Amino acid sequence: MRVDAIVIGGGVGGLVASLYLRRAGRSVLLLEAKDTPGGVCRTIPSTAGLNVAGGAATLFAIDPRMIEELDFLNKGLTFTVRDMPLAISWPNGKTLLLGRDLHQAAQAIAAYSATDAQNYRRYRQELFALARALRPWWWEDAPGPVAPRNARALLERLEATSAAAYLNGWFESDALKAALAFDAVAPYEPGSALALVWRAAQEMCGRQGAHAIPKGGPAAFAGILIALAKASGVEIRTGARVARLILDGAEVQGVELKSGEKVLSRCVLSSLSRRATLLDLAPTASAGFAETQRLMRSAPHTGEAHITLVLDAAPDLDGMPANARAVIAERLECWLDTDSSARQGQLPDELMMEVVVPTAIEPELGQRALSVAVRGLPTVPKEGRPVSTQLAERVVSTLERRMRNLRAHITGIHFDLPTENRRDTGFSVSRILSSYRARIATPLNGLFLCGSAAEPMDAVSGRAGRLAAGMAHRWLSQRTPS
Amino acid sequence: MTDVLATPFHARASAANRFNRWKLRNGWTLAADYGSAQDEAIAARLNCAAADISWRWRVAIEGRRAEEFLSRLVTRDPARLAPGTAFKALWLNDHGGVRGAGVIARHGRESFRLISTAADRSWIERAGALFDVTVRDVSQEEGGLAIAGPYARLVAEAAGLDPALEPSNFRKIFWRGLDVTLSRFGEHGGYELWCKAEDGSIVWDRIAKAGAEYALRPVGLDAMDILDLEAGVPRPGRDYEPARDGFGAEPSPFDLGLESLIDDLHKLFNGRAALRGIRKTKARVGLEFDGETPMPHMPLLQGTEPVGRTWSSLYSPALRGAIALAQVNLDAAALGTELVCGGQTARVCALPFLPVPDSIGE
Repeated sequence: MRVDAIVIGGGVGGLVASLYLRRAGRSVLLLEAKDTPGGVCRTIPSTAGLNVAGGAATLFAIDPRMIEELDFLNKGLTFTVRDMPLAISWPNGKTLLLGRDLHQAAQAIAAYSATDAQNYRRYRQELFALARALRPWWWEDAPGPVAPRNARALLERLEATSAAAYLNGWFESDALKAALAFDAVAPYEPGSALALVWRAAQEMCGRQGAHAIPKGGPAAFAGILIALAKASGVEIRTGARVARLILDGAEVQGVELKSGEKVLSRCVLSSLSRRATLLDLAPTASAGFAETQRLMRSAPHTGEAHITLVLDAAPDLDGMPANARAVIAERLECWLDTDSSARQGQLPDELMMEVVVPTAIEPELGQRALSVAVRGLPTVPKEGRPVSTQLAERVVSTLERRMRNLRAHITGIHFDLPTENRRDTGFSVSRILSSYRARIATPLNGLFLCGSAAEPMDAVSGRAGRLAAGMAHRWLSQRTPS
Repeated sequence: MTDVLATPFHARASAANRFNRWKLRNGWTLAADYGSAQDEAIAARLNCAAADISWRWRVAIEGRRAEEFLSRLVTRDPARLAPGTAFKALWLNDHGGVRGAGVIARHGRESFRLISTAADRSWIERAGALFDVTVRDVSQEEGGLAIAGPYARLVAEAAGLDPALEPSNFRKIFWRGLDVTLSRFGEHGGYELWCKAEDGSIVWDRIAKAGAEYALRPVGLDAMDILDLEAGVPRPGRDYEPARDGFGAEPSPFDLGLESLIDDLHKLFNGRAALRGIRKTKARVGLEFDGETPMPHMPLLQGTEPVGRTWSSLYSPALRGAIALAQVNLDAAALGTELVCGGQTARVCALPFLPVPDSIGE
């Protein structure tokens, strides 16, 4: 069997890449290792017989150009929540709600700190203005850093500024800083202030920096992509795990599946991480000796877990509005502990988590669930000891401080633990500052990355998929000038 | 400060080194000359000479995946090597910059030797670890003695070593109680004799005895450097700065004039993909001077335009004039082009400066 392009991984990036390549007239085979495509957006049958979201609960970085080009809005994509406010649980037990309305947000903060209330307005304005200025660079494959002149001085400062230092410069309330730092992924890394800017540069439902939930959850969004891909003639094969790449010299010629079957193609797009693609699938050191050693050293030590708690009753949210994303992070300094604990393969003392209640905002899901994202967890637990049971206990007890009687209502728990291979690094300043072209291309000819690893930061976006498809299409055109 | 190492032939070399002139190379102390470097260079060209080459960096590369590893490391495919044969090749970094050059010799199915004039230990050891291959430095376990000159073959024969050996081949020999390896890797003809470190003095004495009839004389490092430059071979460290980091693209093999060491049919080696995007912009040429020997690494002018730099330079007693290796822009590389170097005129000439002397008795 021979196709123009093989796409490894049926996540959003892989689906978008195969769809765009198919629309460009290329024959595409999409290989998904699991039983269903969708990646972090797929649903998983849980213990209670209900379907729960497998990973991401909200979307915040979907490529607007893709939404328009693939005509998503006429394919049934609607959003139940278009702009989720950020709920911060304050140490006194109260909840602080930061929505889009700056005046209201400032008023809410003013109850705790007048300085922070004043600064929050300016912080948001600066962040959003900078984000808008840097959009061309993070939205398309712009050649080189765009850095508009008026933003360059600030950008140069941000390149070396950690999100923690940046937030410390604005605010005095620890809970506010800790919650805002959640989006920076690794807020003590140098340059992670850029992660905040990148977040603010995203757009959902036409609103800058918004978090949204599509009707039917992220799975519905992936479902539309799968339907579009199938309709356009992309062949999707599930349960097909790729064992290795087939190379001729430094040129990719296809893949060999775990089953031993070989599929030949003229190019391969991988939605796995750069590490997994080049270290596990390609022949030893074919990425180059120095690059291979760099990739081996760059194993991420912290990652993000998605935990879905299936409940038998609606959770008691204790004043938190159901359509908000609640960030639970006590103090900014706790992030330092997550890093050092993760390096020792242990859970941190304080878990940093984001809680979304998909049921409350989406009654049609027909289930009650809490979707929890925990950051700063060790990727490889020491001595292979599974952290899942320990983690579940810690997550539930942390949540119970805010939601009474939660434990009694849990009927099922689903884990999606951080693995070393899914992600390259939580945050890397070189990754966020490089171009799409540099993140998509690999040292092997005809091999491209199209998933989350090719984005400036890990996110469900589809942008890398769209741009990788363009690069693969150009590669194929050069090979056969027909 | 690292230790100064004595080669296995040091006892004999120091007895012969009447003027006590020594030089340090790769950590080894070696006789600079045994009287006159120029006389020795002439002897090695017209007669025969023995030189200590134990300073060359040698590693044994062994393991199940040794062939695969070397195939990925160097610019030619060792799968084509039969045991007992060798080739010269380059190794490049990820972006196509030359890290080193050397001889790859196949000892067995899973056993190779790499011999180079400059060590690149960490690169080869770390890369070998990716393939579970052991990379062992054997420089101190073995000594090497070069037998150069037209009479080298007769000397080897007189010493009881069967000299029937094709160029680039080597053979292990049990030589009157000693395990030695006889090879023909060199650019200036002749043979190399490799022995265990403890056998150094015996080997020296046997060669000296066998060579007495042909006026064999020991030659020092300076004379060997003259032969080396006359052969026109650029050396890492001496002539060009090798690409010591993993990612820089300088120097490119094309600009060093070493593209002949890249096998076009060898499709996958480190740096291969990057070579596609590299164009040749400079050429390696020889320069002949009418006057003084210039300093090494001098700028070269064509008219008033800078067109390149010299590499190493010295006085060639065989050519009776100063010569230099140089790297110049392609449009200044035509034979006979006159360039200005430090105020004096230099002419571009063909490489090598002198051919390998014909072997007598072959």
